[in-house]
Amino acid sequence: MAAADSCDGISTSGGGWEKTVTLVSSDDARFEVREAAASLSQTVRRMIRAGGDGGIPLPKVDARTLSTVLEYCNKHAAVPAPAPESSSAEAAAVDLEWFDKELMHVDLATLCSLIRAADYLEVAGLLDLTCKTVADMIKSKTAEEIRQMFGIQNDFTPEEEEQLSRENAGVFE
Amino acid sequence: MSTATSDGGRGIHALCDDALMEILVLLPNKSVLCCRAVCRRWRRITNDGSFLAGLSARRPLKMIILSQSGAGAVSAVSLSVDDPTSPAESRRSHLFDRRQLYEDGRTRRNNRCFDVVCSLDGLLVLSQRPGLFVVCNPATRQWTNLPALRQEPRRLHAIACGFFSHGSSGEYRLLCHVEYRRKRYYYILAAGGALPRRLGRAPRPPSWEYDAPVARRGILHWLASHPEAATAAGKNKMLAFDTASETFQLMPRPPERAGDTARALLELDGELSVAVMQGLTSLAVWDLRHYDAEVWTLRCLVVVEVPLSRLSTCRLHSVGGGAILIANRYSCKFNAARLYDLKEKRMLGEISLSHEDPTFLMFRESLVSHAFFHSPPRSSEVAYIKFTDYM
Repeated sequence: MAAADSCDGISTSGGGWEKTVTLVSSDDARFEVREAAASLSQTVRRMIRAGGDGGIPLPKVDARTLSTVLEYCNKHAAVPAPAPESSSAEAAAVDLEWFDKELMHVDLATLCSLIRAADYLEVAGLLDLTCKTVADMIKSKTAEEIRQMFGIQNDFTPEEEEQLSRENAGVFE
Repeated sequence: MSTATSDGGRGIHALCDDALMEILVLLPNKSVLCCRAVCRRWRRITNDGSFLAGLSARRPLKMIILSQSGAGAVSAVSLSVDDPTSPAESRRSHLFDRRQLYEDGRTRRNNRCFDVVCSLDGLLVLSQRPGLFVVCNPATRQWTNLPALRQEPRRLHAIACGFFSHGSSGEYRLLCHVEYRRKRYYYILAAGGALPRRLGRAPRPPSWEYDAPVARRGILHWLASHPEAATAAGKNKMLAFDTASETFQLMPRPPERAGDTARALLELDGELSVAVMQGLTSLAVWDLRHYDAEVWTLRCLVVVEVPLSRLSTCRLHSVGGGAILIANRYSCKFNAARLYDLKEKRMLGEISLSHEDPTFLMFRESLVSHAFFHSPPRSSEVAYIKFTDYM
């Protein structure tokens, strides 16, 4: 699977030359990306339109996270739009689903960095995917299990605890 | 997104409220209730008004269905036509039984029995006995009584006219038509209130039945089978109750024509509308576009498919998004309901209602917290409700 391309301003896709843009992470790593892929980010798309030289600065995303985001964008932008309900469309959908699933095999901290990045960069598909992954982890867990998983402190006062158990009396019986 | 602060935890602390909401809004109800008990921040987020509105919008609109046999199951059947292939069973969740057990779990003779009389904002109003109404939220599994009308004298009739949210106070209130000792009054029973409040004398009802009212601008509207609209002065009028001034008034109805087979008051895109079925296949929708001028305008005419039986009667209901539900009854049963899109004038799908007794009360799950469930304490007279499925 293709990681972020970087071949000096040009890349090939389907035999044609494609325009690329340079994205700069918070730790000054430079990523050369096809414009079609980078434009999956609404934030980047707006910055491309605004113009400017020397690459697009993304001060809220570090290199490690950005490379994963771009892996997602490259894959999803590469998929052509074949006639719906054709067998190739079905195969492409299965392939994308498998790719997404693999991409989500990361630890919780990485997942949360990806959510922040997808939110800031406005990559809707990646935001949906990461949020759904975390939601699936929370689902069917008790409050205590959720606290343990995320390392959250229980900061309720005894009075609040009492109110909570009264509210949820019917739910956890 | 605001710059997030990291406290060195395992990532989720670093998410801003909006991002955390994006995750939590994907959860089923029970998980959201668990999340309320995680920490103060999660509790604040999961009680946030916009979060709860987003959560509710993800739940399908359902109709309350009663089963007349056995324990009298109360269920909610989804009216979404997104997945027409899903079997009837998977569209339905069993909420609770109308026949409720005593708190000790044993069944006795003359089990207490609930009737579902109103549905609003994820809350159901149940009638346990004449004058004792119970409000419940099946999603949070909470219930309590509304201020009870005294049980004596014995021959007390109390009919729920409409359940509404009072504009300035946000209080949930039930308007009731009550008769005892041959005297009739309107009463207001406010959730969280201590005592019933009597409004004024009420007319003799032609039948002890009220349609669910349609609320608009803090005014409840009933199209038909209302005592005051049936009087000579109220001919071709519908009744309205202003929930702020607590006064009744009569309003004109759209023109009636020979051949009208069914009429229903509904809300369509924020307008007060009346749907009229003419014959078997012609549906007319009128809007009260100029509310104060009380002028009805014909919004559209839709040709619908011929029902299975020409002898059928039908019910009409708005299901949001400019769609209307047409349910036909054959041989005393509502077997199926058809959904029509009024803009595109086409059928969206069919929903099976077989072998059930639909109430035509619309229901959408909500996890909004209400203080009235905790104070004042529930009357000891109220039956214990054992909720069944998780929604």
